[in-house]
This record gives sequence, structure tokens and C-alpha cells, in this order.
Amino acid sequence: MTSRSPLAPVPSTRRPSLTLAAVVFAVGVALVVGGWWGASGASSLAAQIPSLNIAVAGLVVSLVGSTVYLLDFRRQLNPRLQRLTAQEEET
Amino acid sequence: MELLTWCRLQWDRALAVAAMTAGVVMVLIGWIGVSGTPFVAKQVPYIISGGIGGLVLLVVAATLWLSADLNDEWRALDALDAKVLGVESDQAAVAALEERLRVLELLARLPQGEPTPAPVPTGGVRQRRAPGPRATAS
Repeated sequence: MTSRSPLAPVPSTRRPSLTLAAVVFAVGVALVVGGWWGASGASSLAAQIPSLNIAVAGLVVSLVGSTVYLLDFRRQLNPRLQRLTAQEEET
Repeated sequence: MELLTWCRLQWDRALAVAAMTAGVVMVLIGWIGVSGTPFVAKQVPYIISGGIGGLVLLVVAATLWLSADLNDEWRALDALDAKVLGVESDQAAVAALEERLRVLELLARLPQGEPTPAPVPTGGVRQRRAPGPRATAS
């Protein structure tokens, strides 16, 4: 079993792009606006239910996009933090 | 003026504050709209635009603020990495100087009259015989 030296080059990490999260948020907002558009044009509650579902789907898309972005950011930060901690323990 | 500077430097946190304010306002507008009519079919659009739309804006605000925190952490790690790299290069320079000093000490211990050896490159240390009494020819 080989263990990587703390002074070895750290595997390349990239900072997650906020642009991708912004695109997901835009999709979520578009779904909410579409749901509102559909619900405001319907006169009965039964006809509004599909639009309400679309709006809820928009909220879920936004939540998933936010969670994935933040978790990816944290996952990129952890190896760098562990490498620096290992160096600190070695010295 | 300071607020503008802060907004330019901390654009993500400024956007988060704006989104949070807009989200709270939208939720309030939705609540006012829903409470103003007894018909469910008229309340649903307010629920969607005010309630769900406001929640989406609050999610965006939280994400932007947490992203700003994570970006700060990333920059702090960049600074720490740069410091560690500087320490490593300093240690290499100190090791080279110590090696050179050891070579010079060995040269100084050589007995007088012995021909001076060729200069030793600093890249490596040659093993030398320890100075001692010379054997005399009888």
C-alpha cells in the first residue's frame, strides 16, 4: 500500500462555477413563472393543479441546483484543507 | 460611497441581500393577496408567485451567501498554499548553504602543504578521508 506524501503535488482542484448554478436557478424561476402563468389563466382549481405542480417542480429544481453547487464546492475544498493540515502535522 | 465599494467588492453578498429582501417582499405580497380573496382559484396564483417564487428567491439568497463564504475559504487556502511553497523554497536554500558550509569546513581541516583539491560543486558532497597522521616512509 502506498501513501501519498503530504508534500506531494495536490490533485488539481477547480473552483465550481457559479454560472452553472445560475443556469439551474434560471430554469427553476422559469418553471415558477410558467406555473404562475398557467394558474392565473385558469378559472377552476382543478385546472390550476398542473400549473401548481410545475411551480413546485421549479422550486425543487432550484433546491437541487443549490445543494449540488454547494456540495461540489465543499468537496473541492476538502482535499486542499486536508493537505495543508497534513503539512502542519508533519512540521 | 462606502456602500458602493462594498457592493462592488462583495457583489455576491450584495446580490444575496437583494434576493433575500425581494423574497421576503414577495412572500408578504402573496400573503396579502391570498388573505384578500375567499376564492381558492384566485388564491392559487398568489401562492405560486408570492409563496413559491419568494421561496425560490430565498434559496438563491442563501446559496449566494454560502458561496461567498466558500469563496473566502478558497482564497484563504490560496494564501496558505503560497506561504507553504515559500517555506519549502527557503528550506531548499538553507540546505544548499549548509552543504556548502560543510564542504568549506572539510577544506579548512586539510593539512597545510597538501595540494588544494579541485573546487567541489555545491550540488553534492564528496566523501573525504578524515585527516590524520601521515605515514612516513622509512
